[in-house]
Amino acid sequence: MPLKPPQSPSPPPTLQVGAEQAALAASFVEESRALLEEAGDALLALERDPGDQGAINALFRAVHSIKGAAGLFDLPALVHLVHAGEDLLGAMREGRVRMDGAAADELLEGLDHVGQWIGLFQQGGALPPTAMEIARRFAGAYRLRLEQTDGPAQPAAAAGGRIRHDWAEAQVAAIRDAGGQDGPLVTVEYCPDATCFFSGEDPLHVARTLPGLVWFAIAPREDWPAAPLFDPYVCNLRIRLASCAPVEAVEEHFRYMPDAVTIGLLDEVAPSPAAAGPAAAALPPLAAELVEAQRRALAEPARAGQVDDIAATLRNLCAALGRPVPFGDAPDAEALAVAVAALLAPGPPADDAAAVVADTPGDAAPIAGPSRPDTAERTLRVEQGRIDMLMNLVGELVVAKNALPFLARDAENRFGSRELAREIKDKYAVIDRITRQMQGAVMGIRMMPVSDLFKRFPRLVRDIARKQDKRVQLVVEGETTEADKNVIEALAEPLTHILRNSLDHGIESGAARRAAGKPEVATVRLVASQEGDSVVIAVSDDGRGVDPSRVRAKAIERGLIDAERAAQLTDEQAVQLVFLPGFSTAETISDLSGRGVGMDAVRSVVERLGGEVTLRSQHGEGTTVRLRLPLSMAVTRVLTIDLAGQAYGVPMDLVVETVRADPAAIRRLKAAEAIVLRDTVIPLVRLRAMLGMEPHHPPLESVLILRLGDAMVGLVVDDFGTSMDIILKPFSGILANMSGFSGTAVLGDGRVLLVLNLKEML
Amino acid sequence: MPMRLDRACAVLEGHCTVEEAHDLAEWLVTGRAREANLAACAGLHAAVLQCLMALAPQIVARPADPALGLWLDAALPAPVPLPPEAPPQKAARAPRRRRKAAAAT
Amino acid sequence: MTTMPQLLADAPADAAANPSPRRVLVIDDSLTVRLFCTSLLTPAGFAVAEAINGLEALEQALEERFDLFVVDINMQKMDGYTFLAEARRRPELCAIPAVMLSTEQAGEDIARAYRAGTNFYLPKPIDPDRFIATVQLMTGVPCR
Repeated sequence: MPLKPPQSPSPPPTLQVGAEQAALAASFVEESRALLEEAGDALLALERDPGDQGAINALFRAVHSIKGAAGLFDLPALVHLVHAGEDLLGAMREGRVRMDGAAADELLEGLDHVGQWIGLFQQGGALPPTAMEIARRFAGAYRLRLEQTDGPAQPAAAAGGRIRHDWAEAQVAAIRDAGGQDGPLVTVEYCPDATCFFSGEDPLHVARTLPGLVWFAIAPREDWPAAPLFDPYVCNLRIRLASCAPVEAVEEHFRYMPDAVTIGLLDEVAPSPAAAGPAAAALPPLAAELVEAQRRALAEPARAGQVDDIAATLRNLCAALGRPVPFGDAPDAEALAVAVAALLAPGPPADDAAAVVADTPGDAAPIAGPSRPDTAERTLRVEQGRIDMLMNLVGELVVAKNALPFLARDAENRFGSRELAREIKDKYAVIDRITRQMQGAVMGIRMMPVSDLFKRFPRLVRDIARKQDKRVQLVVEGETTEADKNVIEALAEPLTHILRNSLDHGIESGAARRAAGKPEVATVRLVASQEGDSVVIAVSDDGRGVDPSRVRAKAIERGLIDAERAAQLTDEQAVQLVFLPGFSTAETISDLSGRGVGMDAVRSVVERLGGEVTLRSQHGEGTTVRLRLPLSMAVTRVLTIDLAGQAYGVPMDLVVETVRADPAAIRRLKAAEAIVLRDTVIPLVRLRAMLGMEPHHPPLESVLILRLGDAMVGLVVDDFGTSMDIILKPFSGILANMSGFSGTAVLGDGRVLLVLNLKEML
Repeated sequence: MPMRLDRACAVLEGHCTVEEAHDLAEWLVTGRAREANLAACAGLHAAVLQCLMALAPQIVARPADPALGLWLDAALPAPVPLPPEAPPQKAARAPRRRRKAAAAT
Repeated sequence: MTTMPQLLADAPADAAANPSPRRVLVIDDSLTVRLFCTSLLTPAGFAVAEAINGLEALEQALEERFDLFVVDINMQKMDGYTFLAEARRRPELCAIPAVMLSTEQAGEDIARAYRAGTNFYLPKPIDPDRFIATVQLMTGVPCR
């Protein structure tokens, strides 16, 4: 991390410079990321409504803050880029330049680079050698925009009608030194036009021949490009000059290049007999600057009535330098003015005073600051790994707790102690309650709002829409809906894909929309909500919808389904064919979403998370894709069932009810079986048959009524067990692709439970 | 002839004009030599000064003209090797150091 | 907010020699800048408190005693100019010196800073040595 360690005072406190810098850099990275996000959001808002003053302020502030923080590190390219961006935004904030799509593009692209660089910086790497090139390119583009609308930015005029050059104020001592006098000085900032060499202008000659020249500085206006790219005939100089000639003479000197210069004034030094000669030399330079600053503060009419702070500053300064304070207890402005003059007068020998800057940090008696009570801290940042560990431990506790009912049963059955069994059950109830609360608390920590996920989409939609020349408005709702971090993170990819699909295939071109009598600006809605233990995210558009006949044709063409079967499908069923692997309705593969990945990829991701995806589409009117996912993935509640002496788990959220049915009540329709439950015919599936086991015919059939999507299915098993919370461990290794099961869990009594993936089986 | 390009050193003499900037830049970019001798230089066009600023050859001899020498000092960040008899006034104020330090991590 | 340097610097010090360290309130909306200032000032013997905007700073300053304000310009809710103007109007705060830090370079911004009530102006990026020396001078920490 290229940051200069502060000059360590002696004796050095136990300060680990490495750790400190790492903390600083980490803070910078995190802060900048957040600011970049804010900036991106604001930029998009601004593009929609260029008059949004709140957004422009937010954007300006974000970019400004990035610049301020980046300046602490050795990141010249980054600073260069954001600086130019800030200038442009400043002009936009003042209404001098308008925001439009192209400007937003440029700014977003620039911010993207900044984001990348911050990433590189975070990894401890340097910025690539091309960074400065990139920065310069963007800075150039931003400046161009500024100049097109604005002309070269004119520094604001100061009260006297003349501008003050900040550099002149900052280096007043040096300039005065060089000038050797106290009279008013004219300051000039001269930035010759880039093409000036072709018009015969020699800026160096112009500068050297300035009448009354007393001080000068010359520097590149922008950092020099890499040597091979350097063009000797593009003037890139910034020359600063100070002259003791009358301002009219200076103006006359630059009369042929009024656009290239700004001319300012440096105030006369307050008349004081003591101030004659090289006054500032008496105090160390920084102290002299500070005293000058107090003089300036005293000169502000607004501060004439209240000078206590100025007095305090001067008093402290004298104390720091070990000098007597040249005024009394409650000085007025006049007394202070005299004191300032006295301080600036030649005083003690220079080497005494010069020690201040050289030795300042070293000789200040250092003392550790007392630990302050933390007042502001209300949040705690914790590494995710720690939460995950806590979560796993809670999970283990849940499983261990589940051993207690087995113990209670043993106490009763094997040891004949009904009383002990009841005691154990009582204790179990307590532990169970606490465990649940704990689990809820830990899950709460892991919950995050979907806004963290959604915030990336406005940019995505905008970029795709612009690329395709479509006009799309993204409406986001329910951003505060929360779900487990893992769920949120896993959803990013499928949602991106769905949105791309929607923009690629769903939204028509502007012309087509007009022809169809739709508003030219298409609307895509991204809506999150919580339903029970699930989070539901729906993406809907008002595009052309899915054409069922085309879907049928494509599915047949690709051999995914035969023609007869396709014809039997309702339109609603037909559109679901898009979820089949290998299906793509796009005539041409687009560079955005057509990379051989289709909705089947979305489906597999969502189902792997224990969720489901459905698609509804009205041909010509739009499409809605709904994802339903569990709020949390960590602990799954299952109902155990028994099958040939082996325990299996069925996810509890699928179970509608459990039924003991008389075999006579089961209706046979050809090869299929069904049961009628409260006037609903529910098809039956025998789990033994599905797993290739011998049939089993008990006096009463145990039927689990399950809800799969919108359909109800009865699953015939040998017997029901109890419901329990388990930590689902997915299969790994060669078992990873085993179909029909979503994973295993270890039970409290040590047995292994296989959890059925019924969505896949049925 | 205001400029001679030797094998190792660019020798600038008299008044260097805007025309010289092109050759000087080309010569410095190809890196055949990285030195410049300004002892006999009496004047520089800004374009030539830019080449010295951007491509930073080592200045092996300062201009005899002290006024021109001061401009060169102001323009070139690395201190020019100084003949002891002409200390530039500007050295009175130490230039503020840029922060660049050894990597910490 | 407890920063790492602060924790590290909490080493026992010669309390008798300097019973009351100078107290500095750093007012900046950037965590990084605050951390930077704190990491420079704490080892130099200052007690540093932080505020993220002028409003918060004002509240804090009215509760605790400070020897110096280090003030950023651009902040939400209350910017640096307003904070200074407010501070200068209040008898409890009017005598506390202030130094402004900002990336603003225009002469007008500096002029406005002085009008509002600053006692010094340091441009960002901040030079560490200069910053520490400024704070020492402005708080009367003996430099000998």
